[in-house]
Amino acid sequence: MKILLLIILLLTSFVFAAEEQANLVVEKDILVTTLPHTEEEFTILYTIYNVGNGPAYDVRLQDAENFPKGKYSTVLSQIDTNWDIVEAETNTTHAVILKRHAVGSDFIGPAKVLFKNTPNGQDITSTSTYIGRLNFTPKSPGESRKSPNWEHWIIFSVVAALVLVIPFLLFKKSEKKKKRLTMNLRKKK
Amino acid sequence: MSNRNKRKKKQREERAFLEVEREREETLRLRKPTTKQRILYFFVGLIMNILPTYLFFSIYEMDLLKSLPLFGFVSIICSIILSMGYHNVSFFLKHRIIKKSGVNFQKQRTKKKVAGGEREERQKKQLESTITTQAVSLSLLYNSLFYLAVVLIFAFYITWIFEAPTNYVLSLACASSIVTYISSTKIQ
Repeated sequence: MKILLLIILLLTSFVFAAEEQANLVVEKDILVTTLPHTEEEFTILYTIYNVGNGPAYDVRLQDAENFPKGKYSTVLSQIDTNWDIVEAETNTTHAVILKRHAVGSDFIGPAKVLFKNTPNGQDITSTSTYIGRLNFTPKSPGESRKSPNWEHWIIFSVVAALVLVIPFLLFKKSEKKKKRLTMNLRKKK
Repeated sequence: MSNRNKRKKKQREERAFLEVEREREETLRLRKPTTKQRILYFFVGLIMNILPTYLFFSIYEMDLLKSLPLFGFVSIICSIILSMGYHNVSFFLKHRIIKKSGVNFQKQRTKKKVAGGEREERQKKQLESTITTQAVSLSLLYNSLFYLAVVLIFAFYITWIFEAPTNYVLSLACASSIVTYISSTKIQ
């Protein structure tokens, strides 16, 4: 009887253990307001959500294939990274700043994330979302001047007006004084 | 003509020549700016150069820290050129205003003391300094507006095809040179 109970307990523990599985959902984003040009920095943000009920061990992010070294260079951080553990129902992020040197078009595909359900378990692969096709063109010298830039022009106009109003007021003041003095001198004649 | 008349005529010619020489020296002395004026023109010129510099690092996105030596050097050189233009215009305006006022600013060279002469001289001095202030302020206003207009035309319509640092140097240098050249033609 006791042995039967032990066997049942062991079986149930295996079942519960088997149910604790990590499930990683990975989001890959580019953080820019306008499409980046060549020699212009842009940020790629990876967000890893563990929506499973067990921790993910030995999580490795691999995305160097999408950004080959000849065309891209990293400005800050590195593309491939790893975490020892990502707890269940938590998320973690990783950002990398890159710069592209050559003009051209690239399809930025999904990143690969490898993890394990147990510390010594087998590797499980998860793929992230993808960014899609990006066209990298050189920044033309006239591009910034074509945009409205209203706030800069307003600041410039206000400061210029303030600076120029001082000589104008000085001129008006000296004009009145000059008229008075000239009239005094002419009266004496 | 008798010798006496010849001597008198020669003395009159010499006096007229000395008078002309004195006037020329006076004009040359007044043509040079005083130290205070130089400092004022340079300071105003520097402010007029900082305004377009702001546009270049905000609209053309020039890096402020990296381009600081370039901004400083070009601003100082253009301020010096612009200060010459300010003085040229103020000199021209001063003489024009004096002529319009109809007041004789030449000192009376008589031995007799005229009643109320000292008070009149003081008032004339006051009037001359007021006219100088008027001419300087008008020169600063006119030249500054002209300079800003020329810089904007160069920076956004003529030299915009160049890279931002080249555009900056060309637009400021050309604008200050044009303004100073046109001001010098007024004097001539």
